[in-house]
Amino acid sequence: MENIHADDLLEHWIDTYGNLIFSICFQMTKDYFEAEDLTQETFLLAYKNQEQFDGKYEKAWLTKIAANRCLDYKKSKQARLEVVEEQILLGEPSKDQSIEKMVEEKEVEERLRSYCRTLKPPYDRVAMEHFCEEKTAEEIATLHNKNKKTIQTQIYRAKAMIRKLWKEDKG
Amino acid sequence: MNEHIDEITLRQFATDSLSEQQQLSLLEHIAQCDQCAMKYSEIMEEHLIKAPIAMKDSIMEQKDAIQQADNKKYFVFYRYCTKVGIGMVASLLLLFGNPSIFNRIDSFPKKTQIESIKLRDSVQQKLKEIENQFVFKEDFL
Repeated sequence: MENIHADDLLEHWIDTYGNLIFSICFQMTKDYFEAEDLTQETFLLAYKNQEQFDGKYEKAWLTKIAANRCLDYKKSKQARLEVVEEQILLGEPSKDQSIEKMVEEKEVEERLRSYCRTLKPPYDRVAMEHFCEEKTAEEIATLHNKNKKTIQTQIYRAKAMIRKLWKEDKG
Repeated sequence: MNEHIDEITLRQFATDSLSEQQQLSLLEHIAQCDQCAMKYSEIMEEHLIKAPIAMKDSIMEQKDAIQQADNKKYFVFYRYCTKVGIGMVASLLLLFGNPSIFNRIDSFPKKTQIESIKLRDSVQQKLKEIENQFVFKEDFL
C-alpha cells in the first residue's frame, strides 16, 4: 500500500516538475544527456528519501536535490580537467557567452536535430523520430514494421553517438 | 554565503553570467536554502526546456530495480531469522521436551554422566551464541 502511494507521488513529481528539473540540470551542464542523467538521479533520490520530506514546498525540495546533484557534477568535472582555463581562475565569464541569455528550448531542439541528421542510416531516421518527434520505440517499430527490440537498440546506439557529438561540440 | 541571494544575482546565475567559482558558491547555497531554491526555480520556469520523452519511463524502471534490490535484502534477513528461530525451538524441544532425560542421567555410569553434563553445557552455550547473533540484525540491512 505504502509502495503504491510512493510510486504515485514519484509519477506526480515527474509529471509536474520534470521539465523544470531538466531545465535546471541543462542550465548547469549545457549537456542534454548529462542533464537527463542528473534529472533521473534527482527524482530517484527524492523517491528514496521521501520520508525526509515534510510535505511542504515540494518544488523547492526537488530544486535543492537537483542543485546538489549539479554541484557534485561540477566539482567532479573540475577535478577531471587536466588544464584549468585561465578564465576560471580570473573569474571571467566563459568566452562562449558573449551575450547574456537563457538557453532557449528552440536552440536545444535545433542542435539535437542537427546531430540527428549527421548520423548514418538507419540511426538518423530513428534518432529524429525519437529525440525530435518524441515517438516511442514501440510507435517507431509499428510505423516501420520493425521489431521493437531492434528499434530500442538503434535508439540506444544513436543516443550514445549524439551524446559524444554533444560533448565534443560543447558551447 | 549566509544571506539570501537577491533576484538580480539569481538571474545572472540562470543566464550563466557568473564565474565558475561564483556559480559553485550559489549552487551550494541553493542546495540548502528553501527560499532561494524556490526563487531560482520560479526564474527557471520562465524558460523551460522539455525533458526527453523517454525519461519518465527510464526513471520508473530504475525505481523498480531499486525496490527489488531492497526487497531481496529483507528476504535474506528474514530467511536467516527463520532458520535461527527453528534451530532454537528444535534445541529447546530436545532439551526440555523430554524432562525424564535428566532423571536418567543419574542412572548412567559416572563417566557417561560427566560427558552428558558436558554435552548439556555445550548445547546451552551454543544456544546463547545463536541468540546473540539474532540480536545484531543490523548486519543484514
